[in-house]
Amino acid sequence: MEQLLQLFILLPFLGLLITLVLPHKNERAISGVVIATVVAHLLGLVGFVANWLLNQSPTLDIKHFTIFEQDDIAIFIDFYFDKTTAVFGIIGSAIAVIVAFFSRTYMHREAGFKRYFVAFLFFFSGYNIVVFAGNFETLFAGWELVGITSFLLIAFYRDRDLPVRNAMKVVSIYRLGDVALILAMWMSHHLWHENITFFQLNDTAAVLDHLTEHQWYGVFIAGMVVLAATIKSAQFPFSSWLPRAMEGPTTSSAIFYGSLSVHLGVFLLLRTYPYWESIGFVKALICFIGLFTCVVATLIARVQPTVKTQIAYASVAQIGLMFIEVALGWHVLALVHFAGNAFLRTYQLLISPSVLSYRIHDMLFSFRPGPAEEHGTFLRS
Amino acid sequence: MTNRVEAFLRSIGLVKDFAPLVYLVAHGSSSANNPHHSAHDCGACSGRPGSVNARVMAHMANHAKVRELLNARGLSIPEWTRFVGSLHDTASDQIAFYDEHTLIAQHRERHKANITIWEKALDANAKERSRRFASIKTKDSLKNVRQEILRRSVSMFEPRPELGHGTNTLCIIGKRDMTKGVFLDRRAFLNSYDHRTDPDGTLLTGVMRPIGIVCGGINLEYYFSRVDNYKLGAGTKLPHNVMGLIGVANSCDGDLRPGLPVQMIEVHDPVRLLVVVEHRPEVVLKVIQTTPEMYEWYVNEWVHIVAANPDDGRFYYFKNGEFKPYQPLGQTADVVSDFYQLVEQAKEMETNGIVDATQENLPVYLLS
Repeated sequence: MEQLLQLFILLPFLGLLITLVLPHKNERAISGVVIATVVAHLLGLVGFVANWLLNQSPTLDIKHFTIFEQDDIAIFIDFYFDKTTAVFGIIGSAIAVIVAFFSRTYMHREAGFKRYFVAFLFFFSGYNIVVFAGNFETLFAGWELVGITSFLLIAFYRDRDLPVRNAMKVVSIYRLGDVALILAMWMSHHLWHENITFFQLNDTAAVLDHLTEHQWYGVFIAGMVVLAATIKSAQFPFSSWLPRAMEGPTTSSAIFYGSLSVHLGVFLLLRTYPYWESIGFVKALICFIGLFTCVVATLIARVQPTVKTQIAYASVAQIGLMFIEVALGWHVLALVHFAGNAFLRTYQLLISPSVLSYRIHDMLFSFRPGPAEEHGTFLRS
Repeated sequence: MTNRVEAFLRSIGLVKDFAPLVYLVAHGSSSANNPHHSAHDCGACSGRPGSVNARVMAHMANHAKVRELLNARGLSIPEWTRFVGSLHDTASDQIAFYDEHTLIAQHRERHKANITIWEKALDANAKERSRRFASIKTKDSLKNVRQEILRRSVSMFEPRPELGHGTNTLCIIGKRDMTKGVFLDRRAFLNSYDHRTDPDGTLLTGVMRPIGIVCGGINLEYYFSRVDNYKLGAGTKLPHNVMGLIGVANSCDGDLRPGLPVQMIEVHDPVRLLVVVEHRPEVVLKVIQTTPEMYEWYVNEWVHIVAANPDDGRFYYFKNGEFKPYQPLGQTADVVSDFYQLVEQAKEMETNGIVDATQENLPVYLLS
């Protein structure tokens, strides 16, 4: 079964390569290939998970080819599958299907139709690499791809000044998180004297052993991982990039900042949980960040003038709660919470232009004059 | 109420030969997930459908007391004439009628027969509109095209539910006989006005008062959004973010985007409106000089104006403060027998680029 895992990475890449060679005027072919890819991915993944559940859900881990090996350094690609992967994978594919169908009509006749779908598939590939990653190196490769494609889609309207400027801001903050992740990898190698895989982290006794010997290394690594997660999930004090990320077309905002990309911080914490669960200070830190973000983001969302940023901040507040859930060890709850938040924010962002319709246009048909209606302030209702 | 009905009927020249059923059709537009939906609704109704106006006007014109007073003023509407208010949804090409239950039995029969005619007209309208939509196959059957048009108006992902006043070029004020059988490719505002009931132009003043503001305004709106969509228009509507229920901006920062989005103006040809008035040039000149607000539209050349003199059948073009005779370049127009074929065979847009959209306008034809 492990051998099948690589297919879920290769399929989006295959779709990407095919899309790259299609002529950019042929909208039907491009959108057809993209939709076929994501639908096939979703169906395949659902089938795989069904099979996996029937086999009593073993945790799968497979090491693919090694890129570099010397002494005790070995950089290799490793894939991993457990319930976190299953949930993140299926929801990622489902949302990708929804957004692909939406974008096919929405992006019609837009200059950059092909560019959009190429970036979309590129993002989807990167997301799958992160979700299926079995070690830090593979995760980092996917993490980078997600960051780069975020930049490409925020700066989709590259003729204008503001999207490009905001995209640079976003990618600069992302880089901070990437550096934190690299430092975590480096220090982790120092700690274990080998390149650890997430499967090996499941062995709690060994982890505890190592950490009690080298306490400060452990705290440093955990701190770096928390930093990377905080930046990716727009928790405080790194939330400033999220409103700036709404520069792209509505569909890209939906898929990135509503649902998939912004929850990768939670995913990172879930993945590295066996590692820092014994360090009380780190758990307290995560809880604090989550709680603080939740309160402040809710307050900020209440005073937002635009609808998309309001949804974005509300999403961040929920992710703050997810951070607390992960730190306290309630992982199933965190996964359910992720599923709910991802679908809700995707939906809300995709229909965010309708807010004018709901709040103003439809008022014409449902207006009932009150007993003493002097000024007819319909906004009161 | 009587004043309103009288002014209305006299201005369009409907003072005798009333049909048994007179339809007052307002326009509205339905679209889903569109922050610019009120751009397609009635501007005179502040971005709402005109349905209420149609219903009210029909009620007033059917009112027994109003008819009595109108009779006293010399405008007699026969007993058996009923006015029916209705709403044409221009995005989904549907029509809805109001207060049908107030019709008597014979009228109801007639109304039912009329509905078939309405549906036929809406089919043809849908087909003609489909030519401008790159995503609908115009060559499909009438039923399928109509279905596609309807789907567009309720689709959440559709950034172009309708193209509104895109390609508007003409405003023709005169008897509807003047344009009967002429194929104008949906580019003309048509105002009914009968010069024979108004030899000295008093009613014409009332008719022409809103022309500059409404028709000229619409034309200029599309014009400026087309020639500079980044600064004067709203850019593409895809990144638009509703800002405080009062406007849209691109994302969280930056300016509010007034003007029309790319999706509405990409088929538009930016030419100034040509107003054609069916009356003698001296009368038209007197009318447009009534108020400075009206006159500035024409003397400052925001819109062109031409008087089609019914006496000698010639055109007089307004320039530098006077109407001079104008010789049109072409004297005849081609005759076309099959309307549907004409629509289907129009050249397809070759690229998705905005500049090529105006190369496929159909010239004026005569429908035989």
